[in-house]
Amino acid sequence: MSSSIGVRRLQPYLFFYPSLILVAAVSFVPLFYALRQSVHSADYLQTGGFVGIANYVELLRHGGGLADIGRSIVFVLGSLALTMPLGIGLALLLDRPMRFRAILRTVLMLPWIVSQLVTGLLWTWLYDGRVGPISHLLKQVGVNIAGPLTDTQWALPSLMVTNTWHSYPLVMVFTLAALQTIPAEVREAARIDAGSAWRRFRHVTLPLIRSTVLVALVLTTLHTFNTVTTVLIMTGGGPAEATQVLALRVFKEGFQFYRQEVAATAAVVIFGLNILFSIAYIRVLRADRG
Amino acid sequence: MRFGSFARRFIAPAALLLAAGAAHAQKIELWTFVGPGKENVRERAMADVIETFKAKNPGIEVNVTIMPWQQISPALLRASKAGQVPDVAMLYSPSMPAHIAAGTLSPLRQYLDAWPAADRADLVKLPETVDRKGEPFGVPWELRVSGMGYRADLLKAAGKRAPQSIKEWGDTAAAISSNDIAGIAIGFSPEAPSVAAGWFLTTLVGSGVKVLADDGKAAFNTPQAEKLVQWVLDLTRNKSALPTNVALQGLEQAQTLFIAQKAGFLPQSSQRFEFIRERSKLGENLKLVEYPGWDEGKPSPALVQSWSLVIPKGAKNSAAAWKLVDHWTSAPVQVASAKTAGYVPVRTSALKDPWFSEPKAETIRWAVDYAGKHPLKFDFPENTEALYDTWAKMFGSVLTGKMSPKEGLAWAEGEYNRRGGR
Amino acid sequence: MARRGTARIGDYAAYAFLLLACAFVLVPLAWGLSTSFKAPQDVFASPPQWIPATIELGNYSRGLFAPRFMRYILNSALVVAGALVLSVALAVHAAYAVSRFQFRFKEALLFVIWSTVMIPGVSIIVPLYLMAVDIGIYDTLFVVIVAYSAWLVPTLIWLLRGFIDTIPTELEESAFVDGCGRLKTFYVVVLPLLRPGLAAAGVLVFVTIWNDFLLAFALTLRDENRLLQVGLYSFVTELGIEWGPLMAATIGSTIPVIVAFALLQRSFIQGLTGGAVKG
Repeated sequence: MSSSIGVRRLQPYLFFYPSLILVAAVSFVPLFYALRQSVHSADYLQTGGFVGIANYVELLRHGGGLADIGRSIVFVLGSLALTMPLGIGLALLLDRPMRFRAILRTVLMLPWIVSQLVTGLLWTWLYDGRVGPISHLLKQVGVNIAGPLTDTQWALPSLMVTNTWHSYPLVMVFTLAALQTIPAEVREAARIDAGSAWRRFRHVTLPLIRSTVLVALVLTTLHTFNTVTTVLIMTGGGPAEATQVLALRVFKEGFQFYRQEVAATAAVVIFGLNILFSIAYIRVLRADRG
Repeated sequence: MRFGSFARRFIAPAALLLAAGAAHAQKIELWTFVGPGKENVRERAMADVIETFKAKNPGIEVNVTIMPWQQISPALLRASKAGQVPDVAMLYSPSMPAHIAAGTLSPLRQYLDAWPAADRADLVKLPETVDRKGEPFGVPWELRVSGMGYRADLLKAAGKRAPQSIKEWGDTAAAISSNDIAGIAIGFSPEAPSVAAGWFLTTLVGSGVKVLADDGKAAFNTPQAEKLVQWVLDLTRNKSALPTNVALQGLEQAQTLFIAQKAGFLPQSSQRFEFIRERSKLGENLKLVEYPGWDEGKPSPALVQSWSLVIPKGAKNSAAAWKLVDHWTSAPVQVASAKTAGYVPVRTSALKDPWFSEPKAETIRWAVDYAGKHPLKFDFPENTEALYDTWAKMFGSVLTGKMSPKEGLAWAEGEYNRRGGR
Repeated sequence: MARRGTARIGDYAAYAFLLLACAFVLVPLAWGLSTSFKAPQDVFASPPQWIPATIELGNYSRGLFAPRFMRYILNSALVVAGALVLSVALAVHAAYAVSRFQFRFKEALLFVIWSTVMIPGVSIIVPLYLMAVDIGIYDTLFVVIVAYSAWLVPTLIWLLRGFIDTIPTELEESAFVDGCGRLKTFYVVVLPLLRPGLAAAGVLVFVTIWNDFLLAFALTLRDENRLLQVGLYSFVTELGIEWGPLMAATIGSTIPVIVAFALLQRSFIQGLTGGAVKG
């Protein structure tokens, strides 16, 4: 009897701790590893001496780190400017009873289901300068560039469009879910009272779905900021570093140049910026609730 | 009792036989980037090498591990640290100095000394396979020479010959280019700069630039270098002689452009040209010429690179490993690999085979000829990638107008030294 | 009357825009599909042809059904199976504990687990790779299974906890009254009721691993250990780009996910939004 009570007391821990241990081992330990490596020098696989913040200074001052962060931010802002309106707009359109709604919703969610690598490959081929339909179209309207991904001005905007294609379904799904929690009476009342569709959206709908939209905004921001695969496969950071974003920097330093200390430093910077964005958004969310 | 006699009569001798067999069956592990197979000529050549080896050495089993070619060098360094090295691996020549310096490779003098003197003299000498003292650490199993492929049909139509000087090259490229056809397909992207940067290197050395000082620091910011960078920049300014977007891409895109018959010149490594010839269906219209230098009739030195077989330190079966190396680099196997996949043999005696006088072997003859007449004298640093990457970034800035050639070279020197050659 | 008219125009406009959006979605896929059936000479035809002049099935046999590529698919399937068992087993127990038990530091520990979702994958792939090398399990499917499981567990706990919360405790209480221990109750009473939750979890595990590139790239090296997305990447970087076979492999390998999505939309959405969206 007493032993079973002892076991019973242990039960929660037996149920819970294995998950905790595994997650800690695979998520936290590497983070500390990166932190530690970022304050030491390295020579290929040998970790060297403690260097304080020298790696950070080096990366940001001479190593082009600030430029990379700048490009990441531009990439995020541009993508959000396209993704949020598209996602929310489509959710609003889908929020009404209509024929073929299920099929439309399925099709409109497809880009999210497709992997980042496949997204990158499909769009790289679509953007191809010689045979792609997009550059063909551009030539018809008089824009004569060899290919959006090989042009230093068009490369990053082209990536933004691809990123939008992949990201908007998340925003759409979240917004749609929030819209569908709006009680029927509220909708009916709004239709009678508010007048134009835009006023209805601004004064009734938006406040009700705001917190969900903010969550989608945070998730999309972080996801875009941390994107490596699509950029890697589409431009590899080129041409002439036009699309060299910080997340790609981590990958290249770690797996192409094998400069572990630079990779670790960039990794910690990305992590820090992720935390910063999350906190900023959460503040907005909290203020919003109050 | 019955079991006892059964054991004595069958199991014991069987066990003895098994043990004897196990003692004889040795296993060696080979790291390679192309494995034995049937899908293309390189795989078939590899299959031949391994099968003929197995036939001659029935007691040795070869375990082949295929990994991406860019990863073999770092994988070997890691394996060395962990004490789990293969018995034979192959390293690309730019990676050799780093491994020699890191001490991950077994010296091979004891094995080479066992060869007859004729065999030793017969083997092509590649500076990157030996250390400062001349101690050999690798034996090349193939080599490739970088050169310029060009569209003989386009040149003929424009009444031009194969360019003999850099200036002539630029003029010819401009003459044969059009809206649809780029003059030169050369790409300086940091993603894949090795062809363009390799070209830059040999042309610099050929024009007398020291490139790297004796202490390893950058020393390439000279008027001659500036002249060359300016030449590239001028080409991109001339509409289609070298389109900027082509110059900013990597070697794979440059090659794809040429295969699509949309370019006139393609600097590339010799081993790729048969593949290019076949894919592009250019046939006889694809010819090779040496990289021209500034002076007419004096081409730039030949950039010779190779994949060399090495036996890592700590390999479990070095004797058996050497047997594979010996077999692979023997004249008959070299000739067979040349016939199957167009590999350039590493033994001059192999070239005596009548097959090499056939038209099919033209690229090989050209490569050997170029390398023999214009060897490159350059001490490759421990990390050639760092140099190429710096140059690629420099060209990126210069070609997009962010820096002048002089500023670019100054920046590149500073950057290479700041990176400490990494 | 006028009101109905404007409503109808609004409807048409809505449909038009939705169809435009569908076109946006389908164009890249259609172009890839079209290319996958093109013979080499048609691939580079200019102006772009949407319908291939001849159907080239060789792209599929060379690209998608090549033994190398099939191996990559097999590896992904194996890892999905392994990670499914490991991650769901761990997560469902932890979710049950969170839902039904009170224990010390519960809220804090839960926060700790969920906060790992905030850690960007790109930040930990290099250290994970170095750690795997140091421990000696680098370049094995085992370490890949463990890593993916750890990555998935926090979201799975969130997902499954939501489902467990909807199961009334009366069922378990009556089982206790009958003399069942906590553990047995969990397996016999609760688990069978979790089928929709487990389906959503399965879908999440499948899609995450099938589609992921970074983690698989970081932890594997040899050709025989590559997962699907890494294999696709290697097609591009090692063999030079042959668009016909490449598109065949690309489209072909995406079909399982698309089919699974079409059939299991509800589970999908629940899986990917962590149960925040009900139905």
